[in-house]
Amino acid sequence: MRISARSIFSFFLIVVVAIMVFLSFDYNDKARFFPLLFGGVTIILIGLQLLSDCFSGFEKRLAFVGRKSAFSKLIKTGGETQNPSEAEQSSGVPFVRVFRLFLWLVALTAALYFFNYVAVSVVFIFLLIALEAKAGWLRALFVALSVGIFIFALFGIILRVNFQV
Amino acid sequence: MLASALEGFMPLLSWSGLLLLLLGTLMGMLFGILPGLGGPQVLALLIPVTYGLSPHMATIILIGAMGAVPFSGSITAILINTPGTGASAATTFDGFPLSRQGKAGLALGASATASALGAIFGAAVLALLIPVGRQVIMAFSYPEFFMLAIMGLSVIALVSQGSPWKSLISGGFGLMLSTIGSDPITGLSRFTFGNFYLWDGIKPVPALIGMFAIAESIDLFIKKESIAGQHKILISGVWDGIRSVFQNFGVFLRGSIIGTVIGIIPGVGGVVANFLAYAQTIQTAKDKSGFGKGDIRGVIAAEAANNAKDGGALVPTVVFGIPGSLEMAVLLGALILHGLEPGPDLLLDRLDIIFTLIFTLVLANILVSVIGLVSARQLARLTKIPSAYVAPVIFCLSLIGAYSMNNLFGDVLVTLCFGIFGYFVKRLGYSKIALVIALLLGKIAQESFHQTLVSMGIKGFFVRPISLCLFILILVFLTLPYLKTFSPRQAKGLLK
Repeated sequence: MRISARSIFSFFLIVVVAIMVFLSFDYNDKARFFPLLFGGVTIILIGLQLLSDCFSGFEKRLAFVGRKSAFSKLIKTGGETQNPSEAEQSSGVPFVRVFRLFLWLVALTAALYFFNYVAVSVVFIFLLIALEAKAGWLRALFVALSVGIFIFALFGIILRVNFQV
Repeated sequence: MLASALEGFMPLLSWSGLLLLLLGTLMGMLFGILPGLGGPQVLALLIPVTYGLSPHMATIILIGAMGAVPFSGSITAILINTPGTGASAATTFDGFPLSRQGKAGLALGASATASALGAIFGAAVLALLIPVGRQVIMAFSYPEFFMLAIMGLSVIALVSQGSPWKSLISGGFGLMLSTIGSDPITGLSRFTFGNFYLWDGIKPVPALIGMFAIAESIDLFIKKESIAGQHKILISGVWDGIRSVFQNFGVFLRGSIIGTVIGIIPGVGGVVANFLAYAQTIQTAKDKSGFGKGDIRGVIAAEAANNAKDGGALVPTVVFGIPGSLEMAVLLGALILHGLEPGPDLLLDRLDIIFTLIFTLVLANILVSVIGLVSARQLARLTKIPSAYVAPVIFCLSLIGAYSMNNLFGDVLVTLCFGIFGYFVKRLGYSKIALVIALLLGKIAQESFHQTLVSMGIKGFFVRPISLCLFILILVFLTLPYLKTFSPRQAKGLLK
């Protein structure tokens, strides 16, 4: 059995859909029809994908799951959603770096909840560029302040946005 | 119709209209030349800016930005071999070799002219199809809309890049997400867990901002690299490039037709249009030796198709409310936000908006071609900005922009969740477009399904000719990618 990012993601999808299908049994006939229909079909699709992701034996038997569309053969570079070269490139990125960036984003969201959004933006951009991207402090400060002024002008003055949560 | 056309054109003659067109075009250019970013991202970021604007003005800035992206993507494709968007990838094959030969001006001139004329061609097709569209829409009822919504998803599975299976999974998951909130028929709240915010379901705009602006920026930041290399930027011979489009008018016309047709098919997008037009030009050319080494016909075909596809993609979007591409999916969300429901309502009641859209698309393409030619050298320098500087700015603008829509913090959370989810969707090869389109079409599918059952019964789906034809097409689209797997030869093998 192979445990990879792909199989974990497939498992996550199947769990979410399964929970939704399970909950939909509590609703009346009309309200549960679509979640059951969509959910049932989606669980089958993800289930086969999960088997293909986890077991090499199934990967061979379920070859149709991994089949590429006709356009994938035509297109070797570029792409809007499923560019294989892009996906391969991204898959080489260590997950720790990705996870750290997610934490930065969660911190930004939490800070927006509690503090002034202009100040939060300036501090976030400065820290992310300086600490995470490891660019020069002065450059980071320049970018952060410039964007802070833009955000204040656009959201504060023109759109009159006020975070009142 | 003429009155609607005039009414649609008038906002573009006002100072505010012109200013917004310029602003949208400049934003579109900026996002177009930055690899990794493109139409969906600029539209997602501009949506909050349009809140205070009238529907006409909002359309102008959004379409202005959308129209500017394709040509801008070709500037860096030609000058530094880095397509700003995937849809300009085929332009590098001959555009960059021309630059290396010191003929960047020739390539840029041809690209600008083919782009502007290609966009005009696509917009003209859209304008010509409106009267037909009005007739077609009158023949459509609930079963047809249900079948169309499902067909939109099945077409994506067939034509999307990567695995059709994963596209179907993405579509199915998107449909499941669309069931969150009040049931459109009974009003019962589903999967809300007592949370008031979820009663209205997952709002498309925060989800779109997350899926495109945040997810793409995460990817940009992680890669942590300067976009451009150390290529020199030389520009001369622009007029020769402009002339070359008229000298190869057949190549341009075929590229435009391919682009428009590909645009009309939901989910296919500019990448396929760009490559198909390029491949078709090589196949039909008598002398193929120059392709890949700097043949101007390669640039003309690819760019004509890339820009004509926008007009084509607007056809299913405005006529049926089914987005033809990623940009259209975001645009659809923005139009809904302004009280404009693409589909029958928009086509029958607000024809003036559709004409504003058409005129803006044409003007934005002309404007971006002129600005692009004048400032190509300076614009290409923007690609030297490390992506690590661009991404943090987009994170902040996206989250604050999501909040400013309804002043709801739930929108910020949805944007964040979809951003992180969207990153994995992209990284693991699932289809973002199928997920987003399913999220948008899920409600239509549910409503029209129940309305069909109530008014016509289950037979309503199969006794009406258009609905039946669409049903057969869905079956064909869903089985086509797998028919080859079970070819007669293989079937014989299995029997043995």
